[in-house]
Amino acid sequence: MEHAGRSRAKDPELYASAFLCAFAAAASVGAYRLGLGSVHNPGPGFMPFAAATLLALMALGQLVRVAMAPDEGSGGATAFATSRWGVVTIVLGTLFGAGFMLERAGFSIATFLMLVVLFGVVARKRWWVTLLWAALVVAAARLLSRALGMPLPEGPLGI
Amino acid sequence: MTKTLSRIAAVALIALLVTAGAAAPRAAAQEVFPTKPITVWVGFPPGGATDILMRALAEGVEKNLGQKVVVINKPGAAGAVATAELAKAKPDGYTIICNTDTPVTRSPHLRDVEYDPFRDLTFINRVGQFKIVFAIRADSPHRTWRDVVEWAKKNPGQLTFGHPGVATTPNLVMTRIAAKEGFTVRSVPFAGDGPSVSALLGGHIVILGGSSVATSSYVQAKRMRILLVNDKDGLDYAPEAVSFEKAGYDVENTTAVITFGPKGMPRPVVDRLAKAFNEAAKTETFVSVARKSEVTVGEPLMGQALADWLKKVGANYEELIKEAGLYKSEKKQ
Amino acid sequence: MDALHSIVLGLQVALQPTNLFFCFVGVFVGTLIGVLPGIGPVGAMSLLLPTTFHLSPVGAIIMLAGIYYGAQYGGSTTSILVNIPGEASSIVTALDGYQMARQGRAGPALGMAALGSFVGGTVGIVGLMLLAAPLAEAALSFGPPEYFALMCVSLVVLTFLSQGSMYKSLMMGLLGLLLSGVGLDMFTSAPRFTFGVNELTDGIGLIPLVMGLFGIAEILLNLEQPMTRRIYVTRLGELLPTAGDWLAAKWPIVRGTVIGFFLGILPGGGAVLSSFVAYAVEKRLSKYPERFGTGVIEGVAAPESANNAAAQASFIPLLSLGIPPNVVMAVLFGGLLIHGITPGPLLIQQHPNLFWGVVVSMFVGNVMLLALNLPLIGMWVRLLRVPYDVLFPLILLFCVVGVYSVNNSRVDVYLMVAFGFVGYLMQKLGYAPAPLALAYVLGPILETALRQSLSLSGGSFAIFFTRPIAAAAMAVMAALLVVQITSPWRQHR
Repeated sequence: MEHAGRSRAKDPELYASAFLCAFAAAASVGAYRLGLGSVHNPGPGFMPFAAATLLALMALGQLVRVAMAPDEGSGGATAFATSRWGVVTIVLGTLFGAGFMLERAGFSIATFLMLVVLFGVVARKRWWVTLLWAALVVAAARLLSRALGMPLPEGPLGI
Repeated sequence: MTKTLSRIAAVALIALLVTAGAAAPRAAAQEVFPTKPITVWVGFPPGGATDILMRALAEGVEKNLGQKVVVINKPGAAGAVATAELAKAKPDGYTIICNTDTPVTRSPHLRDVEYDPFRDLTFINRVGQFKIVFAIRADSPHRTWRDVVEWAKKNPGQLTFGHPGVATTPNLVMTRIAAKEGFTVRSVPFAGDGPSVSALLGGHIVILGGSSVATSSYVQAKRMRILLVNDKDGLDYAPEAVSFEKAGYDVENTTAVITFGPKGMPRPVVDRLAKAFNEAAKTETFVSVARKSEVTVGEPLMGQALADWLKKVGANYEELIKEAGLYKSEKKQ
Repeated sequence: MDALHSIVLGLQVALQPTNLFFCFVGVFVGTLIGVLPGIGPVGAMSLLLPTTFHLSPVGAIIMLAGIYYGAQYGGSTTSILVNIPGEASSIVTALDGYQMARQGRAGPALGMAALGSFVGGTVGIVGLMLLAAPLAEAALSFGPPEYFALMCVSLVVLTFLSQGSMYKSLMMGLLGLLLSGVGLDMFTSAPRFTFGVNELTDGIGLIPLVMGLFGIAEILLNLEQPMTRRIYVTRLGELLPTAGDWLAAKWPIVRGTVIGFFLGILPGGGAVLSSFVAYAVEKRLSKYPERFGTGVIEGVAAPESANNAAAQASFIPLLSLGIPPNVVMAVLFGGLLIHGITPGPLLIQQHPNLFWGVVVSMFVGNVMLLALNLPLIGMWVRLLRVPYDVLFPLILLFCVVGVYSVNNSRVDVYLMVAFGFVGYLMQKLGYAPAPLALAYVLGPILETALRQSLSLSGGSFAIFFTRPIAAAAMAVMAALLVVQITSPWRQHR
């Protein structure tokens, strides 16, 4: 195969290493600012600095190694080929939303809505099955938590 | 046919949930506090000294208030994390905290905290105070504190001192004493009293500073001796213990357990809660737990009087913290 | 009082109907709690602490203890079924256990976990009975320098765990170390990497990290397949380990138990350490180390025996010296205090019926747990047959509730979500999550021990080499490092 531009197969690996390197470098700087102390009297930044710097160097090494390696079929891109980013976003977003609503709207409402999205949108169940399941599960969870004496936030409706 | 039935069932269920929710009794603001259960946070993990004190109180408070008391642990930074959150809670008296005084009198001097301890909080009552001790292994050649001081002066760098954490009372007190007496001490922080007790028993440190309850069983088992205690009456189970006062050290402060809430709590609510806690402190459960935890209950201190006392304590700690070089502005940031 | 007499005393106490009842309640609640992700034994014990006010001290402690070691049985259940470790000591069980579940061998995995736990637990109790006093004293000789050296050895052992690229595993270990630094610095009270977020003052939290990296990430991966595709192969025929499984697991159980028992005595981190050291040892000794991580029974048997032996051993510092070695034991300590019993060196002498009653009831409890957990295997396996499109929202609900209940904090949920995303990316790119999680647990112990040691020695590093135990551990670390570095070279000969 001719080199028709750089192969995309390695891209995810490259991005990951680059990101990790940058992240670790930033952490390293942050740790430095915390105060390294001395080797004999380590300050709060000592350990994080050591770990972050080492990590940054290793990530750099990885970056270089991947960039230099011949393009092979296997690589990050093929791993990501099956990713369904829409699903990932929705699931993570829903969980985030549930956390957000947990105290504002109470356990029951927050988790009910979360389950509705998961059952209905991600699992694509029919709307009445979704609502039924969600309600049942939330009710069961509420009962179970009351039975175990676990305090879960109550919503404005007292449920 | 089944499809329609399912649909109807779903709608009915939803309707049921909503109606049940709407029909739930709401707390009427006009009625006498409290009309629903109150939540008390504890800024420490369960099983800790403050936690069991609060749980011992909970029963008595419940009886007195006529409403359930729910204890929730919100550990983090000796209660500073919970305090920051509490400062944002509704000041209706249904969310309060039972904690040590650390977030109020110490944390603000160690770093920038999200709350102003005397503007964002309402103080309710003081539950009790811990006793702190300096302990040594029973088989140590040093018999009294004076022996230790003389030895430390002659052998700089040999005195190792373990304490339950940076800016805890034992830590700050030792720093001041060392400065006053002129000896060097290697202070080693441990994560609480438990690990420092192990360290003392194992001979890894020479002196331990901590709460008296952590060491009492070892004193009784003759594995440790108490050198100093901050109680002018000494310790009944450790007759050789000398009070800090008699030894010439001015140790006013010790960790107190207090209850407080967010700012703006109505006066009647604060008074009601203070009364409930004070009454609960008389119950048999609490008295025995307090005794076992070596907590001195002392005079009731509530509301504004408590706030004034805490201000004084806080100023004292500020001094000690600055002496120890731990004050926030001195640290590299 | 000789041993036989003590055991008889213990039996008299433990077999009283009320105490049997409390034991059962304890282990039952414990199993439940262990199975529910996030809500660990600490939460359960603290919730039940008030009820123990009204019980006799013996009954209360029997119940609370039951919750603790019961949770160790239950914690591996979610590790195996849905790749969500219930607690730190079950992380390693997920490595092979979950793969076994995917291959339709959830039954044998759960069964081996239960049985390995039983063996580990029982032997642990025997050890507790016979060796409590001398071992407790021995554990005292572990001070900061010894812990540091031990942590160094553990970090090297961590590299033995790596499946796939060791380089990448090392990177993840470093990342774990870095993440463990978030929070207040113990020595100066300075906030590190908290970015002003109040909830980060105490650090990120193991539960959100682990549930995100392992549980959420796994679900995101599974959701790539069409909903109709089976995530788990289920063969209802095999519900218990086969003879072949037993043969393979025989020695791992023994080794795991021994490792777990001795490491479990050390206050702080004993159970976690024991689980992954046992795993690493099995992998190193195995004839087919490359199969670890794909679903081998030894990868379940060894850590499970280890963590239960460690759980029993962790009672030793508490009962014979009065030193609670971890947060869970601290709750037990509190429970004893509430009943007017101050645990300490005199506990065994002053309250022999308490000590022996609790110890014997632990035997009873372990038997009850076996009787509880084995039949449940059928139920769990059936649960896996639920279509994934109904199962995964339930798992996610579990996760949200579980992670929230630890600290009643929303931020924990957000962190879990963030780590879920990170874990997903990591899996795609071949970075293993286990070294990250384990380094996260060990990091603080390592750093604390280092700085405490240097504080004690006034800055001199000699302290690590002049003290016998520490020096020995450092030597072991050096030896292991040499083995690890030269092994690819030696294999080529």
